[in-house]
Amino acid sequence: MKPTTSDADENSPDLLLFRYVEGDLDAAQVQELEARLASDAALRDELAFWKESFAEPEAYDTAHLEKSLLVPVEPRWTGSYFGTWIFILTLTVTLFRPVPVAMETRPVLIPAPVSTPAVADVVTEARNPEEAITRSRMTRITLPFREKRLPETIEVERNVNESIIPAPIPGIKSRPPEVLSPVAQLPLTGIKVQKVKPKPKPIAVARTLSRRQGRAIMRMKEKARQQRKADQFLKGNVPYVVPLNSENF
Amino acid sequence: MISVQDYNNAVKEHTRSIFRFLYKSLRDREATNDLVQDCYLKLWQNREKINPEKIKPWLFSVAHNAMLDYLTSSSRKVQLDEDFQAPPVFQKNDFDAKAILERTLNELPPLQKSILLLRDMEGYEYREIGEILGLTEAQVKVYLFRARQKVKDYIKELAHVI
Amino acid sequence: MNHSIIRYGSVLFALFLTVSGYSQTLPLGALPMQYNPAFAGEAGSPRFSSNFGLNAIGSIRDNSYAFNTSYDQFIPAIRSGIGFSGGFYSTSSNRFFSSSGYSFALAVAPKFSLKGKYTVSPSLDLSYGANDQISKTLPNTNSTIRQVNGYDLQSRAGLLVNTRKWYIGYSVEIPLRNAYRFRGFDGLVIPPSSDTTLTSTKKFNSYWQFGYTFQRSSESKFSFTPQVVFRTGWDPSLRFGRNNGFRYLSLVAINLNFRYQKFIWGINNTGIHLGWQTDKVRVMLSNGFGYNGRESGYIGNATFRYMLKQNDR
Repeated sequence: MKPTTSDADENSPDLLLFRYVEGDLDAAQVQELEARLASDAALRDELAFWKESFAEPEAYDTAHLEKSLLVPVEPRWTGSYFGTWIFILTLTVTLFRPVPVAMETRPVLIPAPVSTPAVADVVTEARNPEEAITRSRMTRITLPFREKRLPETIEVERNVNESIIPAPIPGIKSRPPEVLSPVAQLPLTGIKVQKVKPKPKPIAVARTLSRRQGRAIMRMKEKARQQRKADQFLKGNVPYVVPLNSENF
Repeated sequence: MISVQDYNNAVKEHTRSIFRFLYKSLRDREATNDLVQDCYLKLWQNREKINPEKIKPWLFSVAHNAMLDYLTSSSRKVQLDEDFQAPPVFQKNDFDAKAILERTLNELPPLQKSILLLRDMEGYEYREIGEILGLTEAQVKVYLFRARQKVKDYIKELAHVI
Repeated sequence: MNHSIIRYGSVLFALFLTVSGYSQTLPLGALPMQYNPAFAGEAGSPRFSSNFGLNAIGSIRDNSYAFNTSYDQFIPAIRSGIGFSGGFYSTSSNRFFSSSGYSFALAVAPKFSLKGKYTVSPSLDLSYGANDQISKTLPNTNSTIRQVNGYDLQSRAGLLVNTRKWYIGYSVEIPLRNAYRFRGFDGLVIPPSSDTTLTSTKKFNSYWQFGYTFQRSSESKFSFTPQVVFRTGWDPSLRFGRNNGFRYLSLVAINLNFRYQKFIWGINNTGIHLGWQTDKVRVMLSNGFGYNGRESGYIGNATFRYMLKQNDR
């Protein structure tokens, strides 16, 4: 059956208000209706209810649905939203990566590898046996010097009779001053004969910790630190319960 | 004839509208997802026959019919059963006044509801709605009048109750 | 000594309150008690927090700004944290809708220590909020067609377990009382309803909140702290037919925060953030893009925190 508006004739308030809110009235009709609205409170209320009948747009997240519907075209890098975030994050973390603690280093000299027969060279070169002095070439480990740059190679004179067996110490980049090798304690520029007293400990005892050991020690230290704080609390030396670390939260 | 590019553009531009249109009628996210996928499947299958400039009304037309079929086959009473998010600023006291309108819409016959949604949400003219739903302009106007009148009466009744 | 802190804190809070509201667009952590009142006093020191947020997304419903502030501290004498928070928001739209409102809350959170390592804190708060919603449908007439004035009295119960580097929090909202006036065109007042279930909100929202700091040691300069908030809930107000309301679970806020010495940066639920902090002060800016389904736009937040450290006292 064809729908009609016969139940609401052209001048019925309902149809008039419907056409008003739909914007279907011409200027004269609008003027007339608004004049009526100004004087007729009941009609105004009725209009309010008509205006309520509009559905408001809402937004729904259909991103996944859209993704499932797309037909793939030739592959190209589209710079996905997620990828961009990851990129920014990575960049940020890279730029602000913390400086390793081991940067506090000191110059250390170690003898060249055994394969370079420093002593033999010196002996053959030392034609005058009275001068029982030899020159050995020392290699320098690359270490960040803050104060002063050292030359790439230095020459040190020492007694060939005091044979120091140079052992390469791989992986060591820094050592605390108290374990500096005797060789490292030689004057860096010396022409005079320098006696080097061998120390009871061989150079090769210096050890590095593996990453796992390092982590384990760090964990133990951290645990001890936390335990100290807990003890402080239990002794009543801190005001109250454990707060969240406000640096991070 | 529509190209892959046209199709993908249609997915990006109209999925949200089609989803909203169906979801407002069905209130069932899973069913709505299925029907939206059906609509696009039909679009792809019929891509050689469809005018690229008429993709959106064509999709609404298919969506409306799919929705009618779904309601008929499942004989479901549409329920308001989904998360009904308030605008983001209302945390403390979101008086869901628009829940009233949702309920009223739910009471409308499917055709009237479709007309109302196409008019209010998509901003279609009477003629365009007629093309989508296979009605004349006059029929659209009358159905829209009836739909709005029902909504208005419902709200009025509710207001008096309140 | 503590009394003076409470007094000054209250005065400052009152000052902030005059210009302040709750908003879900806050970066997570900007207002510590936003999702759980048990965060009151959890920092150990008296703490002011405030946030100004601005949404400028398209023209429909999403142009808004909000100012929020809070003050909280631990009171050793009662071994509890107390907190105040409050704020106001305003949305405007040229087409359909505008709204404004304010709210404030008072929280108390007793704290218990386990072995000096864990803190367990149950809590309760009481909040009051009021808002005013105006709907209009015809852009050319600018006439009000619906206006809802309402208020909402609500309580929340919370629980927080934390160490210095992680926490787990849970809170549940308990609606106590709300009422509204439903106005029509030109301010026509419609009498209040005896049946409030149609338009009032009775949502039993629960919030789960987690945070953990990844750090080589507690003294490391670098740290990474992710935090998340999930909401679960039940809304019986939309009970309809055989449907007994509906339940939901959603991620409502996130904060992936990196810190190196005094700098903080990362991603939160409002965008990318960048900030600077000392023992006492934190200043942070968050910038993001929002999309409301139709239009995209800008979301900005400025967050400020001030802590009165122990050595100040």
